Amino acid sequence: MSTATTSTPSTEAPAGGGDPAAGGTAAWRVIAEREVRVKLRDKPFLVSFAVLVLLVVVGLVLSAVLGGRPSTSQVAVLAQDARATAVVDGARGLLPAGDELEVREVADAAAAEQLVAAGDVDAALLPGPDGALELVGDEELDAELTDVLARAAQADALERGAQAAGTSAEELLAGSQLDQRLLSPPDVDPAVAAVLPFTFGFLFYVLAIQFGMAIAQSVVEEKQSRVVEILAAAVPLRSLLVGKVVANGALALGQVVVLVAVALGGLVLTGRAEVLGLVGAPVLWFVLYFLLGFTALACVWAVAGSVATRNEDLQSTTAPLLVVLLAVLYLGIFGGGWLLVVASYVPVASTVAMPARLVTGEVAWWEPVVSVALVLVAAALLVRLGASLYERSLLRTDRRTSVRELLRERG
Amino acid sequence: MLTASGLTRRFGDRTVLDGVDLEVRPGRMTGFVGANGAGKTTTMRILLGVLAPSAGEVSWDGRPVTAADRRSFGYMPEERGLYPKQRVAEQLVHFGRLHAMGRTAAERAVSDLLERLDLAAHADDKLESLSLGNQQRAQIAAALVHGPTALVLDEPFSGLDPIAVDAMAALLRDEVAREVPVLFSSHQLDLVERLCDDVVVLAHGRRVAAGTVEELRSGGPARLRLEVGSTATDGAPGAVDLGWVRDAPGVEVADVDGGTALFSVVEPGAEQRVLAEALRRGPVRSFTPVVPPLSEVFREVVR
Repeated sequence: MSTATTSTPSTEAPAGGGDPAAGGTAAWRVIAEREVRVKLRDKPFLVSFAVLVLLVVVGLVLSAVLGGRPSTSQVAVLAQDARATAVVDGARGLLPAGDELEVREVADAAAAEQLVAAGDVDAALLPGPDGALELVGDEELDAELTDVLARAAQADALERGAQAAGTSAEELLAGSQLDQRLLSPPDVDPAVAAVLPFTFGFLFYVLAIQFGMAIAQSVVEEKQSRVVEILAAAVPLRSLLVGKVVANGALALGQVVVLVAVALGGLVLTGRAEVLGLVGAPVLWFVLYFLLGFTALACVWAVAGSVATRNEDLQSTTAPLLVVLLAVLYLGIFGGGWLLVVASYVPVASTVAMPARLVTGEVAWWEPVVSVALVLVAAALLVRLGASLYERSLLRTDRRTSVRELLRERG
Repeated sequence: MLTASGLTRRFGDRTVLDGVDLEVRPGRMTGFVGANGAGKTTTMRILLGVLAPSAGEVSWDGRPVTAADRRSFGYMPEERGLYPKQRVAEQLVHFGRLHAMGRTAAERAVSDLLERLDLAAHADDKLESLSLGNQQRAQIAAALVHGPTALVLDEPFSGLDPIAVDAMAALLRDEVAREVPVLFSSHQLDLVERLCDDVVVLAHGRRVAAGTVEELRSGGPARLRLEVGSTATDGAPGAVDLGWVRDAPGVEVADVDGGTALFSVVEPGAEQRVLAEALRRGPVRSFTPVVPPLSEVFREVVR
């Protein structure tokens, strides 16, 4: 250790200290950079992100495979049984578009039952007692197949009876059909309307907890390791808080954007681009709401970290936040009617509720605007309150502080 | 120059600092001493802006200190701590940047500093994997990385072995040589006496003494040491008894041990009478003024 002073970096440090123009970066950005760098090297973080992306991809593939695949059923009939053949022909017309119904003609009932038992055909339509028809299955009968065959058999019997009476089924049933008309038909496939709110709720729940916890943990870690004292001496506590919130918010938003891009891109790739027009706007609204809802809670997470002294304390200090997020999740899954309308104006809850309402399309243009304004106000208030509580509790490393205590010694 | 005037801090209805004035001059090492709980750490935290004073003001170069000024200070808190799971060099660069350095400047400064501190081999190790001694060095590196304009260290010598104490002292002298004001607290008064130019003594939240080391020591009780008895005659100084000095007028005896007496002068001139009496009784081996060590001054002023 020499006394040479040439190696000391004094000449490189700006004399005033905090002037970013002199080579230094604003403190909150330095803090945010470190948070992001540490997080991007964190294995559990990367794994959980990969799992989420994988879930989206699997969901897309499954829905494409299960929803889009036409089914083909085979029914065995006796070769000489014209009536059974006619019923199957009739049933074919009752099937949903794309589904097929094939006839396998066999010599006798025993051969038909053999095919059923072997699983080569789904069922056999055989002559039953008293001139009725009998549908034979192995362990169970497909409900849809049974339904269309029963309806076809009825129509066939009606036609036969009508012809015997010198008229036709068409004439007999004239005026009996039930037309349907909806006054407000939904714009969206009911399946999509059910899945999207759940997806919004789930995404917000998982990501808000993941990154909220990351904020709380990062705060308590600095407290626990006592490094906070050096940080507090070097930069204003506000910068420390802003850096953490910005870093974790950006990572959370980044994940949402990637997941949404994968989901929407997947819809296009699996040939369901038409869904995009329906869900595109609600999804974009969700991304905006996610950012606002997360920001509103971010500083509260920081307070949950700052009132703790050790990592173990987080379980209890973050409990109220977890309850709130769980409520928001359930709202997304089960909410409906007036409850959803009210929730779509309640800050944080609106993150899930408003996009869910937007999916159904029954929302006036000004509603999301008002709701966003409310979140902005709430976020501004919560950020200010959270920041001041955080600053008051951060440097108490001796014991856990209660929020009530902090509020009392205000000023 | 880093100054504080009238620093007062209350926690609830407890006053832990009461109107403390402080001056840390550039190019000088200032020792900060006081018993546990005297308010040293509270004062240092207020200097660094970690804690707000209930009253009083901190100034830098004659004007109220700003956040930007403080960003260029170096601080080693009483409770040590860095990021345990981050690599040494990487987190030192982080601290450099927090202290307003550019990235490349910080990287250069860190590699220089690690070289100086013999930590270069551990640059890419996680902090928690380092030995305690090396963690201490990393801690001081975090305070020095940006070439601080002022240095405040809370008990920098506690827990160091004698070799590390010398290394730390050399580091602090380097900073003083750069004309940086350096303030450190310590319980090791011999160390303070050896290293410091100025000393500030706190007791129960009040400043009870301040000045250069010489001033403080000369301000202590002036004493004289008298040694009598000849080794040539009987070789045992203990054979002579100076007990009579206790009864001598105008002096106050602190200690008598056979042929050695330590006393202070109450009435000027009384010491000459004691010397004459001693010479009358036999040979005098020495008669010298004694400057008390700082530890004695300390005990005196904090009482």
